[in-house]
Amino acid sequence: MKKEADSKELPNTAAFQDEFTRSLLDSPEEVEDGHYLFESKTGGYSMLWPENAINEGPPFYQRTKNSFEKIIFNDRNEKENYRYSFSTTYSTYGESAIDSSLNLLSSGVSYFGEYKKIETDKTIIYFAKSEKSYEGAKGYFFFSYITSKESQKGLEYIYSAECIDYSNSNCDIDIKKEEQKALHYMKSVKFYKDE
Amino acid sequence: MSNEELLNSDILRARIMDLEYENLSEKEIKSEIKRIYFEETGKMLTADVNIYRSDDILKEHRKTNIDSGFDGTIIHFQSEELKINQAITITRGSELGEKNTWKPIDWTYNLIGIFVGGTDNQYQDARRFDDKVKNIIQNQRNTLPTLEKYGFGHSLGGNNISILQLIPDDKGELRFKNVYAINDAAPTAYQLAVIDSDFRWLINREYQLKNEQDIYTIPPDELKAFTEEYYKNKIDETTIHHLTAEEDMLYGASSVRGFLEIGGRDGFLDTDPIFSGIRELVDKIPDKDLRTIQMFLSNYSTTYNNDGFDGFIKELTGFNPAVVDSVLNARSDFSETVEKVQKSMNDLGKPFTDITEADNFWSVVKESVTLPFDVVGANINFQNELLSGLFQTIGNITELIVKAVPMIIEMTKKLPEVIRSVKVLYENLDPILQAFVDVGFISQIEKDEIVSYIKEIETSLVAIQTTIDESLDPSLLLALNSKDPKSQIEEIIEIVTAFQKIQSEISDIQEAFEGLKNVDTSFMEHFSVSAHAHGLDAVINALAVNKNISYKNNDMYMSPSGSGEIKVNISSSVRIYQKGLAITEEKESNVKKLKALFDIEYLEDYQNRQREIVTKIHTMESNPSQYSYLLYRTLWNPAGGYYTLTTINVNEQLFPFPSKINESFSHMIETIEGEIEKEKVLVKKIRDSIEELFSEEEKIAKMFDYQYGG
Repeated sequence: MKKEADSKELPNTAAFQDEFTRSLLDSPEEVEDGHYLFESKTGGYSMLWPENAINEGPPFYQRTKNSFEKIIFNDRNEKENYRYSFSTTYSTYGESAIDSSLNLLSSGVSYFGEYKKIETDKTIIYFAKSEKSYEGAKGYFFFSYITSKESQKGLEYIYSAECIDYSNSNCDIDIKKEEQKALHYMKSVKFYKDE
Repeated sequence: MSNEELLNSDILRARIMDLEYENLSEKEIKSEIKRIYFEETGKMLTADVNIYRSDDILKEHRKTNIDSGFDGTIIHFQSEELKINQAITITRGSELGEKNTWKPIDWTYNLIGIFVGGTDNQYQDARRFDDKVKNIIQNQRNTLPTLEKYGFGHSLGGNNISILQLIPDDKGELRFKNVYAINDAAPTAYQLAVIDSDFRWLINREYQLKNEQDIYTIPPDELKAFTEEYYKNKIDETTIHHLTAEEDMLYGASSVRGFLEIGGRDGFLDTDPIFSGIRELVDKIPDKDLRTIQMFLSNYSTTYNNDGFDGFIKELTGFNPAVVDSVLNARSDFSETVEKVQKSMNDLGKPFTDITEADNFWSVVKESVTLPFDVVGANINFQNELLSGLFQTIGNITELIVKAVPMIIEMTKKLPEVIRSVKVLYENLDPILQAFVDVGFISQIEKDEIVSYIKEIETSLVAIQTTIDESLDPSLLLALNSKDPKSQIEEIIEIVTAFQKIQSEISDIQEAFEGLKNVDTSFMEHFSVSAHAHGLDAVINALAVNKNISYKNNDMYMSPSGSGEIKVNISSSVRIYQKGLAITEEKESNVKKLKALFDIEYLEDYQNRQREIVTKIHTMESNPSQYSYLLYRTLWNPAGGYYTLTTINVNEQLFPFPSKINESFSHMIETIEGEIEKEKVLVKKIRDSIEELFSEEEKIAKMFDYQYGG
């Protein structure tokens, strides 16, 4: 009963109105405009979670105790004609296994080019982008493998942006803006130090 | 021969794959590979063999972490002289069970993972392992020809190895020259949609999915066709080879929605001529029902625990104990609650069973309250106690009922789903069971029994739901506190009656379960035929071309021509001969050492001591005065000395080494040597008689002489 009462007080965002997604998020407090903080139950990392993105539970959510976590989540808005998709895969393969991590990432998105190395204070981001077309539709992919400078941890981050309906006049994806957004998400990933 | 595929027959590959299940050391694997290669080809394996195991290669990563359950071995064959450089990646893909069983611990968990998507973790570990070993091998020597890689996998390992081939590496090249999957769990579109982002995007676009879960609503045939076309365009599917026993349970399951057919299959192996497999039975399950089951399974996939093997089989046939587990678990909660309530009621001083109607109950209360205090003075205290006891009890019961509310809410949520699933499973079970009756695996009576028990379960579940709907409205239960005492008591009785009703329905369900357990023994046995066909032993035996050869635990058994009944374990005979020979040789050398030691420690030592004594005697006899000090020790003697020793004469009597010791030692050695000789003859006889038995088989004699090492 208490839960029922609680959900009425919860923010009216897709993330908190969805039961499974809510179970992944600790606090309805916005840490940044339109974003919650996702603190992984693996105890390994945290990242931004868009307030209207939802995860639909297994198998789109998978976790092996503290060493592996894969989350596929989407922010889809029919009215505004966009779909932002996220796929994050956390593992305890860090900088020392970067070759095989990039190999995995590349084949998962069918990208066979180079990665740009971006350093932040505590992480290294290997970043690349690609564009896919399918029957008039386009998908803009921004993806990276992020490793911690402090521990053997890593996160594969795939972000994609697209219109739902490409025949609609309100289809406008600003590729530059999306890339900035993707980079911002990736730079906001924080790994926790091993205890 | 320049780098031609070394393991070039199904039976070789199946037997090598079987080694994965034997928990051998690296050294043992190497010698087993040589043995199997020789037994099957009659040729010695001249290439160097190196073994890499995932546990070692991924050790650094696993040190601090839970592993994914992935297990793999890479066998590297190399020879500069013969220009051989090839590696076989064998994925086990799942935690291993006991030795020599095909039934790994998390088999069911994995299968559910494949069924609904998932198992990314094992896929990733498999890739990382394969990449890492490839690097190690390529950094070793560059005088070898280009490395050629092959992938082997059985069961869930077959699923894993196929996915490794379906998703090419970062240069877009195929990982393996050939992939061989035996009785494999085929990849599913659901699984690939989670693993392969590229493919997931296409599915989303093609079917305009609003949610990820909507992939389960795509007509399975359409999804399967789309997925197969996508991957067939992406890779050369002729590099994937399937070998399947027609009785295989997994193959039976693979007609279930979503399992892909990519790669070639050369017919089917018949591992059991009597059993025709369960695929056609599974084919009878309507697709919409499978979807219900699939969605249902996806709820279980993450919370699944290890005792689920029987669960899966039942899942497949349409009957799942896990479905009702939630209800059974709730049973103990119920009993507890009801028991407490009953106890509180009994505290009133009347047995609970007497107060079955509200009116009766109320009259007890009314009587207590309205009795004038002065009428029966002696009763005053008693009445007061009863009164306060009553309100205390009502308070207690109300509290308990309020506590039971979350459970009831939980059940209201869960029950309709459980009932729906049981109904679906029950309906599907009927055609399958009928098919079992048709082929004579179970009797009509057994079938009727099974069906009636399941019907009973369904009926009880429905009764529980009705009871909850009619008598247990959570909001009314919560309002109980604010009611006047009369209605409070009336409702309490109704609620407790409802609780009891549910409790009795739940024990009916449990009884039905017990009944099922007793009835379905033969039914389960037929599944074990299918389970056996899934194992590599059955496949290996079905592959034996020569009717005189069979296999057990990866040992080769032969029957002499003309006497099909006698089976000789050739592998074991060779082991006995080689080990026996080695043991007798070791014994002989030990006897030799013993003899030498006896000579040194006894005979020579005795002579040495005699020689020393004689020498000493001579010295003393020729220089007696030097030994005068011996006199000072025993006689008083002034400074300067009175006495001088002038002569020493020793009457020596030295005996020779006692011949008895020598004789008994020699006798002992003779006995041991005689025993060894007998053993040698025996070991030789094993070889001779087997060679004689199989005089037509040329390779037999060679087998005895070829040492595999290890």
